[in-house]
Amino acid sequence: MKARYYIGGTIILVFLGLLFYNFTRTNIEYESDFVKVMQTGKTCKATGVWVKEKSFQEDIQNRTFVFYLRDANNNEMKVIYRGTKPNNFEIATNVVVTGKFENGVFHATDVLTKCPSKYEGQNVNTSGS
Amino acid sequence: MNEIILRVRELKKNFNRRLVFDKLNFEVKSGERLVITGKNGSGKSTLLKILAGVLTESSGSVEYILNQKKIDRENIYQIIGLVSPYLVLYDEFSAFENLSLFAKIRNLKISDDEINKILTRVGLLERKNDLLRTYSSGMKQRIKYASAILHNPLILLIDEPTSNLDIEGKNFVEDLILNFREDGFVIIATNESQDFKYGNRIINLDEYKNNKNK
Amino acid sequence: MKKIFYIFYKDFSSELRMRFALNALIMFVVVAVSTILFSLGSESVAPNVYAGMFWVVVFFSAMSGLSRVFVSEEERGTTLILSLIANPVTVFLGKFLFNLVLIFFINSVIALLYMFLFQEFLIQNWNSFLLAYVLGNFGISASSTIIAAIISKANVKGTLYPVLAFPVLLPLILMLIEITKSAMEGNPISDVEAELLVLISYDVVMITASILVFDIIWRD
Repeated sequence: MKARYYIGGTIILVFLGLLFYNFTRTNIEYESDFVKVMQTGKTCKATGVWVKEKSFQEDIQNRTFVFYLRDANNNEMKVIYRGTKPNNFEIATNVVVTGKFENGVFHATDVLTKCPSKYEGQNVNTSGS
Repeated sequence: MNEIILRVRELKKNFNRRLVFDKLNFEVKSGERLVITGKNGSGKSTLLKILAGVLTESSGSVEYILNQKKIDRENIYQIIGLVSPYLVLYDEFSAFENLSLFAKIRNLKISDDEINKILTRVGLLERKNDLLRTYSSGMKQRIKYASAILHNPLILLIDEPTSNLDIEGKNFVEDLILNFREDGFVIIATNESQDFKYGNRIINLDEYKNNKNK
Repeated sequence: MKKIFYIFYKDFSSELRMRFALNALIMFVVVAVSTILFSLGSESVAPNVYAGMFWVVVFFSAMSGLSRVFVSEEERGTTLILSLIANPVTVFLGKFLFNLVLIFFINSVIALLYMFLFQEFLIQNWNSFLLAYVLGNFGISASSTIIAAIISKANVKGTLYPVLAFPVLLPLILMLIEITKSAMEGNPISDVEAELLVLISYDVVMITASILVFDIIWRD
C-alpha cells in the first residue's frame, strides 16, 4: 500500500525530469557557426550577415527568394526562402533564418531581419570614442 | 469457519463544518446483528457508506479483521454487500445483465444457473430480461438485494431494509437477515421499530453528537 | 486484468445502447471538419497550420466526449454500485481503456476525413506520424480520464472541463503539432526525437500519477 506510493512517486519524478530535459531540447537552437549548421542536418536558427556583393534573386511568381549569408568566420551559405523578400532586408545588420541545410543549400521557412536602430548607433559611437 | 471482526474507533465524520457524528466506538463480530438507528439526517447512511469503504472518514479508523488479518481498504468490496436507497443499478441493462456484469467485474466463478437461482430468491426470475428502467421501486429494491448477495459476502450492510417492499419481499428480507451465514454479520440502519427486533444490539447515532457524549 | 476488461465491456455495451459520447463526438467532428473545409476553399496552407487544425479538432472532440465516462455515472447515481464491485485502480484502468478505444476510433475518423478532404494534408513520414498518433492518444486518454473523475465530483461540471484540461493537455498538443508538421514535411524521425521522448515521459507521468491520486478522488 505504502510501497505503491513510493514506487509511483519515483517513476513520476524520473519521467518528469526526462520530460523537462527533452522539452528544453525541443526548442530550436540558435547557431552562428555555419559549419555546424551544415553538419547537423537538423532544423535550426542560423544567424549571419547578408553578402551584399552576391545580391539576391527574387522570383515573385514562384514566391522564392534566394540570397547568401556569411557567418563570423567568413563561411558562406546559399539560402532559399519560400516567400517574399522581407522589408528592410537591404539595411539589416543581421539576418536570422530558420530552417535546414540540405543538398548544399539552406532551406529557410522563416527569415528575420535585425535592423540598426538609432539607439544602437549611439552606443557604437560612445564606445568607440 | 471464518471469523470476521469490524472495529470502529473514534470515528468522526463532518461535511465541511457540519458534524455528522463523533467519537463513535464499536465492534461487531461474526454471528452478530447490529441495528443502527437515529433521526433523519443523523448519519445512518453516511456511516454505512464509510463502513463499506466508499466514503472517507474525517478521522478515526475502520478496520476489518478476517481470521486475525487486517483487510486492505481496497479489498473490502470483496466481502461486503450493501443495500441502500442511494444505490442505483444500470437501468439500460436487464436484471440478468446487471448481475452477470457484476459477477464478471468481480471476477466471480458463477454460472448463469446460479444467477437465475438468486433472481428466483428475490422473486424477479420472470422479469429478468426486462430493462431496469421499466422496474417499479419495489422491484428495484429486490434487484439491489440480488446484487448484494451475488458474491456471497461475509458482511451485509442494509440501509432501510424494507422500503418499497411488499409482504413477500419483507419475508425474504427477514429470512435473509435471520438466516445469514454464521461466520458473517449484518448491520441494519433503520428507523422502523419493527426492524429493531432483528438486532441483538442497537446503536443510536443521536447519542454521538459531540457535546452529548463525552 | 480481466476485471479491467469487464469494466470496459460494461461501458462499451452501455455506450452502444445509450450513445452518451458517440453521437456528440461524431456531430462535433463533422461540424468542425466541414467548417474548416468550407472556409479554406481552394486556399493552400502551410503544414504547421494543417497540423494545428488537426490536433485542435482532436483536442476538442476529446474534451466533449471523454468526460462522459465519469459524469454519466455520477449523473445517474451509479457511482456507488461501481465502487462496490471493484477497487479504485480497476475502475480507473477500465475507464481509461474505454476512453482509449474511443479516442483511437475518433482520431482515426478525423485523420481519414483530413486525408480524404484536404489534398495537402499529406503525411510523408508515416513512422513519426503514427508514433505521435499512438502516444498522443494514450496521453489524451489518460489525462481526460483523470480530469473527468475530478469534475464528476465537482459542482460545476460543464465549464470546469476545458479550464482544467487546457493546461494539462497543452504540452501534449504542442509536441503533437510539432511532430505532425515534421511528418508532413517528410523530415526523418531523428528530427523529432526530443518531442517523442517528451510524449513518452508525459504518458508515463500522467498514467502513474492518475493511478495514485484516483482513489482519493473516487472515495470523496
